Amino acid sequence: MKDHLAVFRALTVLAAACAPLLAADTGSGLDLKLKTGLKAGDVRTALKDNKLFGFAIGGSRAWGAGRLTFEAGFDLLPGQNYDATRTSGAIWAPAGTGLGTSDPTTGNAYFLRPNESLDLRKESAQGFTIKVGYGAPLAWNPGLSWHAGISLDAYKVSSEFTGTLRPMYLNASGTPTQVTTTQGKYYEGYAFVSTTTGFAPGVFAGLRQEIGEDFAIEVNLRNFGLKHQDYLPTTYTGKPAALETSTKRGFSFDVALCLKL
Amino acid sequence: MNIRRTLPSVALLLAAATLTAQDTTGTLTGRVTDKAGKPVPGARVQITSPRMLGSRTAATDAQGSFRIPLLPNGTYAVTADAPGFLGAKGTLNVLAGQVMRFDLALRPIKEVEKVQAATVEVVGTVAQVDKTETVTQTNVSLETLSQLGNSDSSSILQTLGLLTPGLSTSNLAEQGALKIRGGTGHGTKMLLNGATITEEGGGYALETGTLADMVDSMAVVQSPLNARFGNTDGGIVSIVTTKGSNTFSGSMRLNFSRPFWKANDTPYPTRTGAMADYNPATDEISRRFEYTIKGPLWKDHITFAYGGVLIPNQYYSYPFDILQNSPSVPTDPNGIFYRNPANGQVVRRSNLWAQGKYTTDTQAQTYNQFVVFAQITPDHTLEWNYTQDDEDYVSTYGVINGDMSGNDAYKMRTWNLGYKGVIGSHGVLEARYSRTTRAFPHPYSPANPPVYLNTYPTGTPDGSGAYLANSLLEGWDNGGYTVNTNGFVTDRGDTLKGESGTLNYQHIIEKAGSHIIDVGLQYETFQWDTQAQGAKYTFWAPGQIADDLSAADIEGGGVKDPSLYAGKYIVFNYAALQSDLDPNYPAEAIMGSGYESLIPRVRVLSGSEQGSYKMRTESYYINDLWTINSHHSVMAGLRYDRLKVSDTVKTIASYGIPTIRLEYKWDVYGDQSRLVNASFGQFHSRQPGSLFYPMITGRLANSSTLYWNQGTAAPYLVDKAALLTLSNYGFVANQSFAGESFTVDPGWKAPVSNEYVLGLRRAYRNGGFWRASLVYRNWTNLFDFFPGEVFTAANGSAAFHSVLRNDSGAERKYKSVEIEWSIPFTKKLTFGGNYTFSRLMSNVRNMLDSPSRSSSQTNNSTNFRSWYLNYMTRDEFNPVTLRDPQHSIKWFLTYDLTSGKVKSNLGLRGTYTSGAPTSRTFSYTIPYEVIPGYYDGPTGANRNTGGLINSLAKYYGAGQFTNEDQWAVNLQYNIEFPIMRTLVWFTNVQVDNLFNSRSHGIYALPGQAARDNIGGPYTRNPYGYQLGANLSNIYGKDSQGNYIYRNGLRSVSIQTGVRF
Repeated sequence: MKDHLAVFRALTVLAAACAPLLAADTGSGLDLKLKTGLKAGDVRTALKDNKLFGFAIGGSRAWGAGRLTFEAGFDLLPGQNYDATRTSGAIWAPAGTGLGTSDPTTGNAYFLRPNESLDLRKESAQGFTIKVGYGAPLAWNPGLSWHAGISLDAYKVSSEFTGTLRPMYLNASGTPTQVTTTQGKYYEGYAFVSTTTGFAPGVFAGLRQEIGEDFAIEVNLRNFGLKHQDYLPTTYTGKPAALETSTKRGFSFDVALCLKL
Repeated sequence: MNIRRTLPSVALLLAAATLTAQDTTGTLTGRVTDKAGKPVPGARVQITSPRMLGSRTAATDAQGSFRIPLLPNGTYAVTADAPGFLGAKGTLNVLAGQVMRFDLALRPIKEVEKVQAATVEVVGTVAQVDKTETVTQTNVSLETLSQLGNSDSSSILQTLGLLTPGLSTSNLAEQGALKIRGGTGHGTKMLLNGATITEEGGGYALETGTLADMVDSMAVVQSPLNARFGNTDGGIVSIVTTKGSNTFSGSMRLNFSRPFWKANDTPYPTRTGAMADYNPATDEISRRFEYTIKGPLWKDHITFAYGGVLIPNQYYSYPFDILQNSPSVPTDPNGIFYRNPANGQVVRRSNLWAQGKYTTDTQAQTYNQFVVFAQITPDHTLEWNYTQDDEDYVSTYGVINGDMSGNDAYKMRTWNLGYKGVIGSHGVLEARYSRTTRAFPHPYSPANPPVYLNTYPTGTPDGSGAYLANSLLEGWDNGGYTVNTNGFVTDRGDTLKGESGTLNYQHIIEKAGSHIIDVGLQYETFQWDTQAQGAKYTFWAPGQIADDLSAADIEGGGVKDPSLYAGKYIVFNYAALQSDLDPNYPAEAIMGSGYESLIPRVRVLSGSEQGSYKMRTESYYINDLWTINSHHSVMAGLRYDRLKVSDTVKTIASYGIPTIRLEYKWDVYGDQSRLVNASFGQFHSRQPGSLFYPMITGRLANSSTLYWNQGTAAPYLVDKAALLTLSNYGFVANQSFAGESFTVDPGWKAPVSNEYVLGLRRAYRNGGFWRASLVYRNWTNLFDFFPGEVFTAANGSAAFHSVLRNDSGAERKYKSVEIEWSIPFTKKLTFGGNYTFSRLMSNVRNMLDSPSRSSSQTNNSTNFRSWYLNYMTRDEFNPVTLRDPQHSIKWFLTYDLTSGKVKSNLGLRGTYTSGAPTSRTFSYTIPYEVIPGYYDGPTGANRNTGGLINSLAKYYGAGQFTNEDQWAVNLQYNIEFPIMRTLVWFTNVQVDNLFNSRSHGIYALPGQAARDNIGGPYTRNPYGYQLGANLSNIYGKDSQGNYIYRNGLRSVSIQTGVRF
């Protein structure tokens, strides 16, 4: 809720900030940018999705032979639901007296009962991005310019974890058998959503083509990062369940339609 | 007829009328200047159009401004001339409910003396909108609609949804209904030519008014700020039809569509687990024929338009499927209980459904629409509309047994009469009366009563979500149809009547700028007439038709003998079953999760319902748009709504409520190019009459549900005659209504949405525009049923009066960012779309713990209270706050491929929607085993418990879970050739889901190692129902062995026809 309020307030402030510029007789030099694009690298791997959407307010001011560019926007980095149920590797479970990877009586390794185990996940991100850079027209086409600069992203990453893991083993007769404890049949279950927000710097470069007086098209290549969250249930590690956070970086390629304010 | 008006006062009058979505006409406004930009007062502006009788003329005022209201939709030629100037001309399109600005610059004749024979030059420029609009709306022309989708009714509405930000149709309560800016489905007002045609339930896409060649324009009003608008807590969908013209025209249009056309011809799993080729059954091509003719009845005075739709019997066949199986989770709503003959143990048997078989629904429809338009004088017009809709349904096999269902029918008639005219020198008067009747004649007889066999599939076979619940089992009891002692059948009131009237007077005052004042009154009435009296019996039938079963499905084995199964129905005795059940399987779990549909039962209703009841809203309003100068304007409106609900004996509810509307607009440069607006509006909602049904005098107060009381708990077969024999029922499993009492708190008021908007609209000279808005809405006067005083019921037990009253603890809030754009890059290429980031928040209290809770109250809580919930998931144990964030991006690209006389265009439409909110906290998933190891997140209450749970509440997951994101790209191609003179042949092809998203399904195939059996804190299979709905869409398998399926079938629709 707080994050959403922040979005709302920030946009309100942004709109208010634009107002004096709108009133300027000489025109604002500001654009509304509508972006769509693809993402790649570890970010894509973490989110299991290659799409990117966003909108921004951007502008520029003359500086030397070129222009200083700036942009403040909101990006949406979708993620896909996926099944992370472990199908290979060690499975840890409490068999009476403690954790292990196999049944102490038979020595048979634990495995996840396929039709009763499920580890569903989804991670997506959204948040603000600020860019500053420098650009200049290309000599052979004054309507076409290049630009490059640095960005600072504040993406809120939302990670959904839902699962039930039910270890089994083959008993002496070769029959799949449920791992039990003194409390009953053993499951590990979880259902939670964890969000985290972190700042990450990035770099970008791109081209911009003016289309008449009112429109322009931009293409941008950007390197950026976000905080990825991974949940490690006891069943996968033999240790207390834990949520691990790491930074993932990747590239994005976006096309922006620029509408003059 | 050429009308020339030269009086400045008339020009000012014409400059006054504001347009709203309730209008069926548009307004042209603009300014005539010289080349230096100085105003040219007294210039004559004349407009002509094939869509208009005669021409209209206005004179510019001292600022060079002109305004011409009451213009039918269409293309207009505009000319301007003034002494000493060369004339100027141009063309533009005017849409209903929209103000179009057209500026003309005149050159002095002395500058062009050398131009031989030149009298005019094309100098007009068009801006998209005028700042005197008093609503925020997305207006769509038929041309745009046709460029993006075939114009059969569903596609028109689909396209309208595509073009409109702030609109939702799914993932919320009242699925399928159009919901605007977080408003409820029933709170969306539907208008046809300015007359209210809202369904009783409200907000659902209507066939009415969506006949392709009769539609002139459609609009979605996201913010109905003008106080003329009411009875909506969301927005308005307005459809305006053509009126005809002095020229005869017409069309014939044939539409063929096929939802499965080469969608994905992959194998699908049958109920035996084997993969079978997808094999479309019988006739899957939907046919729709449309025809229109328009022209003059009396040239320059009276025109007409007629359109008809004929939909012959068509068959929707689809594989009927239930994929979810769960023999070990007692709360899984699939499968049936079954007693194993080998050991006598009751077990749940899954797959006892007609999986993979075909269900066929038959539907036929005729639809006719008439419009007569009369221009008494150029300033006074009359318009009469009449529409009728006749629909017949037959469903067979699987879901409904055809020989027992007979025909279900729906008949709707609506007509309205409207007047518009200029009164005096400063006034415009509008009056409209409309009447709508809906009837549900069921041609049944006592000898052939309808028994609808409801199998309660969790996924509906045709993929339409709530198909069964909304279409076939519609009604206040939401299950089965009712037979009274006379054999008359009704599922609710037999006829619904709607009536509305409006009278609006608009007046101009030129003082301190200009004031445009609207003052008026409206009323809307919905009336339900119930013909059925006395006892009624509702047969809720068993869920299985035996014809389709394999031998293995019955009694554990044996050789199937078709003669034993044909026409038979599986039944079993609930009482016997209950006594056989494992004590760990509570009967409530069975009865509450869909299994009851497998046990025949009859609901017996008794009482003496009064003949009708009525809900009437009277409204009075005044609205002033004060244009201070070319930069600033302020609008203020006050509206007073008075609601009265009554039956033939008493008043059920009655109150009055005022609402206010305020808006400030800043035209930054004074040229309409950049418009900033800030507004506040209160919108009093409309409630469906069904909310008050429990309060009707002599309502069918006592309801006993009798369950099948023959045979054993083991499934066995009976025929139809046995099924319809009342004496076979007898076990009273529960009673509802008896001893219940419902009243309305005297202080109760319907919810009001309060809207705050900050927006910016940018218009470009080439007709392009974009707008961005920040929207915040909250609701007051949310309500629920609360326990009242205790009384002794007829059965001697203590009971509570249930009181409908406002709930101060309830909340509903909506926040959104809306961006909308349409940019014509070139004359041929246009790119448009919209983006909405919305967040809807609502909460719900723990009503299920209410001491007065009863089954019907629970039902009320579900059906009424949940209108204001985000989605239908509730927590039985804890009050919860539900949040529904969503990103929705829709875009379109149209490209004109016209070459010579052959016109053609290509359209691409794309949609992206972030994953719909879901929950792992379904109340049905009450764990039945100790499940250690539960973890509810790093900040969860259970984080330090070592994974051991200690209460059920812990199974309710923390956070907002989402389904998979969905996106799709659709294609449209239109082409037309001239045949002779004005006769044109056209063909339109629409391909939906050309590309679309794929999801990973996780479900079980019988006998395969799949995740079919997971207990725990979440719904076992969050995707299973989707798979059931899109069986033929299975795309392949992922690395986990789960099926990947496409989110929606690729469908093809082809229209071809001629027009002149």
